[in-house]
Amino acid sequence: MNHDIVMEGSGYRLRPIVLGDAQTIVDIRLHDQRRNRFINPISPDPAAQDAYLRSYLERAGDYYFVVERRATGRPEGLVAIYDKDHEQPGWAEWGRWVLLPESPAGPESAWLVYKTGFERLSLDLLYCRTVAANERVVSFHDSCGLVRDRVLKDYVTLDGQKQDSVEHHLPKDAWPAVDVKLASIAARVARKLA
Amino acid sequence: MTSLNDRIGTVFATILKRPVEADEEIARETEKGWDSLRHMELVFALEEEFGVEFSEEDIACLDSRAAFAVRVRELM
Repeated sequence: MNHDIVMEGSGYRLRPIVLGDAQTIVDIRLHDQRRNRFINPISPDPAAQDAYLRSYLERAGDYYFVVERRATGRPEGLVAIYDKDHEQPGWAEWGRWVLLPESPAGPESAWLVYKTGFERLSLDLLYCRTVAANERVVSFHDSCGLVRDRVLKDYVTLDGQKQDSVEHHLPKDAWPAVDVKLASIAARVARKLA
Repeated sequence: MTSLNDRIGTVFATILKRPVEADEEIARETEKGWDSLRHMELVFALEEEFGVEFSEEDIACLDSRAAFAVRVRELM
């Protein structure tokens, strides 16, 4: 949806994705062929992304962001909170999370997603679903302290193959502990960024 | 006296939450639990252990126990 949420962190910020970001989406999502096996394929044509963005801007309860380095304004990733109130009132899913391979934005971008969800959108719970074979991201959510709910069998189809997904969730009352952990990491990373 | 490699191994064991053998090779590519959060925890824990400071470029490039050991020696 056409939102105006900007969430400033230590070294990074989340800012709303806009129509002018079509090339950014292509650049980030197609940068790492090895990781691309875990995400839905996209067209390399920015015009196709432009069409996607026009559709996204009309979609309620969907908040798509660029992960941007504060010092330079350089886009280093993408992430979204979506399906707000879809499964249950006060719940939303987060995903579409793609970062440039060399970017250290992982922990801080997740932190900013949770801050946005709990502090700006007043959510009660955020959940995420990760392709099970994407072990490093599954591990990331475990490491952050999220609750691992269940495995969703054959949940997505990638490259013609059905893949299981692992679902995690973070309820509002567990956020403060995760906040402390991720905020500390974000602050220390920020001190190293150019 | 505990060797540098052993001290690095101890840090890896703490952060990865598993036993680490004396000369065990550990690579980010193949270690399931070496996610981006644990990577930063490794960086900061090794900085504290050895009194060194890794650069942003180090953070992006250091992807194995051996690579960290080489870089720590260079920085000490």
